[in-house]
Amino acid sequence: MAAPKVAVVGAGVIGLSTALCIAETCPSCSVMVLSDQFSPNTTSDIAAGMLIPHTYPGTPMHVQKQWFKETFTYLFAISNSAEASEAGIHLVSGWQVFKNTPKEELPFWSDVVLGFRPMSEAELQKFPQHRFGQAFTTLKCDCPPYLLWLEKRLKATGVQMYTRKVADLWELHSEYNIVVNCAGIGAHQLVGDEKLFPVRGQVLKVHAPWVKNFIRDGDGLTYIYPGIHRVTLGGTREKESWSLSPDPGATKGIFDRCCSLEPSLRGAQDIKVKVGLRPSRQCVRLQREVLSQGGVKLPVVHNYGHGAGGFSVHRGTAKEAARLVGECIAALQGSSLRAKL
Amino acid sequence: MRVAVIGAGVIGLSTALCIHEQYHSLVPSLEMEVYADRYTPHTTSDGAAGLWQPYLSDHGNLQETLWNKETFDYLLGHLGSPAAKEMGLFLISGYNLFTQPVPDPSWKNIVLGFRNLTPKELELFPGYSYGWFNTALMLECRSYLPWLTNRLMQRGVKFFHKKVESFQEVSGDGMDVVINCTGVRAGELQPDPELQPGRGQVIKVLAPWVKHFIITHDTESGIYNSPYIIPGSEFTVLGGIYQHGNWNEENSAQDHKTIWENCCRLLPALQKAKIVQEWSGLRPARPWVRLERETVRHEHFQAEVIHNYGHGGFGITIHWGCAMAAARLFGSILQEKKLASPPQPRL
Repeated sequence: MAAPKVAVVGAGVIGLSTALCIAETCPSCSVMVLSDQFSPNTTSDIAAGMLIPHTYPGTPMHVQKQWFKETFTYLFAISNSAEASEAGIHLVSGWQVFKNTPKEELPFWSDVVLGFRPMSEAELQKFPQHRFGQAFTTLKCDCPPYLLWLEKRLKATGVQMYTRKVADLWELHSEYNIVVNCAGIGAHQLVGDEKLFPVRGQVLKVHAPWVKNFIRDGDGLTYIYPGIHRVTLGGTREKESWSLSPDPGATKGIFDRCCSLEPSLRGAQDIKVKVGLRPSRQCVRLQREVLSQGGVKLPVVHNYGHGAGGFSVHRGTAKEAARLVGECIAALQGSSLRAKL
Repeated sequence: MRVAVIGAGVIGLSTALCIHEQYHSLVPSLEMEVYADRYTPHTTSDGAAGLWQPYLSDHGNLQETLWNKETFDYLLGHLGSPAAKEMGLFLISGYNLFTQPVPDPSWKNIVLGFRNLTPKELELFPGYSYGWFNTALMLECRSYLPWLTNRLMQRGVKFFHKKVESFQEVSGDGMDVVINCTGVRAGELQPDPELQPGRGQVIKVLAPWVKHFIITHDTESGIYNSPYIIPGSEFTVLGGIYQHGNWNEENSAQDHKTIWENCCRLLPALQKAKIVQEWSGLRPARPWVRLERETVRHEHFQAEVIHNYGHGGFGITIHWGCAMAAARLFGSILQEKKLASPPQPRL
């Protein structure tokens, strides 16, 4: 077949990185990104972009670890290069603190991040309400810079991006050979996935440039993540809430909880409130599907449902999705050969 | 009684505040005046990035190590207070890099979370095979000196902008004390061949993605003659110049090139950083800090002088410990003059 035409639906971190992986592994493919939203209006733009994995109950641990390791290695190389500031990738060190000692003292990713170790007594004194902690260095992907950098890389490899609201994957069957579904929370409506649900997250993005270390409460609800220009303060985890409007009560709650971890935040300026819906699922939906209507087939690769952990595993899942696209192409070429016989 | 503090860098202002806080209630007649030819932002302290970190080796000078610790603990205690932001005080983590293994420093248990670097971390720094990671403090003088000044002004301390040429000039007859915090130019008040300038030059850039300090060490070139990168609250300071005996406060194009090339090699992304300012200053270098009393006599004049100068490239690191030691010397002067004797029992 002539250059396979691949449509990637979605332009958040998953859509853009998946499109890039496909373009990298399949140079003969013609790849296009279709999305109703682009940076700075995607869910990814709200996230802090910290590489601290979320655990997916339905995905085998060794797979999650592989995804995280691939993502970390990929970003580590960028952070060490001249492109780091443009790509928005930087190292950040800090502490994860627990009020009660966690049952798992060594998370599965402790040997992937840098310098992981328990906090010393002296360090814990800074957190009087917490009894145990872990210190480590990890990476942060600042958005919009990272997404804009991905868009720039995509354009350089000839991938085009179109603002378009796709209501149904099937509508693409006449223009494209393969569709890659990276619609994030949009997949709920796009493919009617009832297993996908929003977990509403509200964050504050503030000006507090003296905050150089991250602090995260092990319960995942309160965190302070210093980015290039702003510090992200979080957060909330409201299952099944679809509201994108900021909630003033939550703003106060987030601010107070973060100030109790880092009192100097009382002096933070220019507080901006943002809301995003984590596209949550028991496991990431990373699989092939073939849609067919009236004898016409449309191969689809799904890559969505990364919940709170999108940034942490994005490159790993993008590579896997690209591999699945390769399988789709092989299957198409096989069947077109058979059609000729 | 009049107390004249000469010098308004980090040493002069902190010593003034320390003494005033401890003794003003005991000596209600205490009148303190600060004299300096340069005030913030034009002092040597203002050019420093503000990182708390002593030299690698204390050369057996335990006294200075204790003063460093006192300073760190004092600042750490202020971290959670509302004053921290105004003081320019915050925590920062980072890396010290070496080309070969070195013994642990005297301050390893003073800072937080001190450890060796892992092989993975060393991959970030080609050319360096050994290193440390720790969390320390930043105290930015462009905020700290104004904060100290405000505290002093609130206490009624008066400030005078003049170059003091002699101890006599600032003390009158009677029971007066002069606190000599004149830094690198102390030799102009009283010759001191041990005091030499340690010239430094820095480039201030906008590189807000840098969240760690990175200090490299080259045992052959000596302290501060190897590149360092220290991110502040607004600017990132690039440095790595130490020229003993050089009094030149003008920026050198050669030094600029050295700093820029070395730092960009260390952190390639710095090539995209915008340069905001260039600055040169003279570290007041001395084999050890001069912190002692002296009775200075000249014809009919006599004054008690407390010297507190010669803090090299670690003034911010050691300042509070020295201020407290100077305050103790002040206390002993008061005792001798029976100005601050313990309360007598009423008969």
